Amino acid sequence: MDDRTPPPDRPMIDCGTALRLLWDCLDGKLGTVNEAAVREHVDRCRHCHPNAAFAEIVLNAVASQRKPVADDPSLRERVLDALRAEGFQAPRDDHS
Amino acid sequence: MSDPAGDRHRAFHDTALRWLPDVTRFARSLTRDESAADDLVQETFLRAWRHWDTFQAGGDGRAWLFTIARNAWRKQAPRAARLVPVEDDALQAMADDAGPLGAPDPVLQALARVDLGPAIGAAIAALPDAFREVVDLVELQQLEYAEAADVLGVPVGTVRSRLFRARRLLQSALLEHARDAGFASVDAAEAQ
Repeated sequence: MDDRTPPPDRPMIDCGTALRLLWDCLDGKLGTVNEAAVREHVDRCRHCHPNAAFAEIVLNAVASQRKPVADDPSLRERVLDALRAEGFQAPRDDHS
Repeated sequence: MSDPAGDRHRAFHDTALRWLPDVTRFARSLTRDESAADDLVQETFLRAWRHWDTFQAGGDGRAWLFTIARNAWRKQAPRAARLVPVEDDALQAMADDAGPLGAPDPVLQALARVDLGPAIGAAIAALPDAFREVVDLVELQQLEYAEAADVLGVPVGTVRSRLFRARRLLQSALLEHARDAGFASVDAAEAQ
């Protein structure tokens, strides 16, 4: 059995379908059954496995940029000043 | 005693101003210029305050502010810097062809080992506007596709296809980074 042969009890999805669904799979946007089918395919398929590995590397790298942006006190004050000029009154407990 | 005017100020403070850092990040993504981003942030909150009565209580304040910011930017940006909407059919076709790229094992191992933060940050910054704003909203701000679609005023399918295309471009950028860093040969990268 080569590395793309489906198991005897269930036909494996083809490469095109696996690639089409891969991003949604990695995003967790597929249902359990479809996700399992994609993961099964990329685990077994020598052609698709590196594609999935590379896709995961990219997603992890992008996720590493997901850092909270620190509040910028001078910008906040500038915005508040502009708002005050238009009648906004910041609550007294706004210590920013 | 109830103070309707005070309630209005409090509600704006709690619902809108709390998102100032997120709006700042989105504005920087749109403008790619810190000073222009600060101007846009101020303009966004001024518009939000002027139109606060139109905001539906319980709505998504952050997505509402992103929409205002994007509309303000599109109105004020220099013509050359405005978003150039890509024809959605063409984009969809590109997205259909935008499966993930592969890379040789040694390249994958090297990419998995090194800190890709600077490279991916630069790659995101270099994305065409239509793709970069989707990456920012969906990947970085973690909006759902439908929320991002509302902000951008496009169908959900367009968000999805732009995201796929953006990811493909980011993969290409990382392969180029691998070549520049010497852990992929030009031939190996181009063979993918």
